Amino acid sequence: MSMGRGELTLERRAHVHSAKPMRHALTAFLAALDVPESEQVGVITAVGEALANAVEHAYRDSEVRDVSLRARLDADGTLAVDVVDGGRHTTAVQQIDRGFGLRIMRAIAQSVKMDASDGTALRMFFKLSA
Amino acid sequence: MSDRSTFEVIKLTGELDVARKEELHAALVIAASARAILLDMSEVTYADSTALTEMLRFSTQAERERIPVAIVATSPQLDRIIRYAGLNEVFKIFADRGEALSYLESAS
Repeated sequence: MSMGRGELTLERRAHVHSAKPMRHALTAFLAALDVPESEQVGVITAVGEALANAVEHAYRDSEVRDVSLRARLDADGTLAVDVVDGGRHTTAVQQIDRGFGLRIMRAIAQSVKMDASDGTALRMFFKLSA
Repeated sequence: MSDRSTFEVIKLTGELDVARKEELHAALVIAASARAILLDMSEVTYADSTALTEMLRFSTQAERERIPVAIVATSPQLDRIIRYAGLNEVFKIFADRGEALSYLESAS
């Protein structure tokens, strides 16, 4: 198992105004780990799409939910990011995506995996310069 | 040189994300008097697909009405998300206002 360079965990109420501070926290985390700015831009763009999808669920019904973001950067430059929308809903991720989101995430991340069985969990891997 | 007063300028600034969906929807409207539109996004520091969707709706409507739209985009993030979404072939993007105005003058 590889050594971790750093880990970030955030949880906020799923609200459209929560995406921005979560992106900013992720930017600060990447900057603190000396990830080059051009790579930060890609990660923030992809994760920003996942966060936008997650917080937009909050308006689908009246149930209060949280959205969590976990990022872990390993010594080999692998960045794993999980965005989890903790609500119980059965809507497939594809249906709640606003058209461009998945295309953008797939264009940037090495892999994008979704699990909509228990809330919506999205995991992305990025290969950054170590 | 054509009359600049017929160029409508719409300026968007800051981070255009999911929280600003309604504002973007309201801002990206084609005025009845417009002959050409300059969409100034030079002070946009971040955009997500919410913004792209509104920009595409706006651009499609303008095209239908034969009104040229030039977009000024300078932030690397905005430039990249437009490419990742495959919209760089759809939008007319310029790195500065002068180039955008020249395009509009020739297109309108």
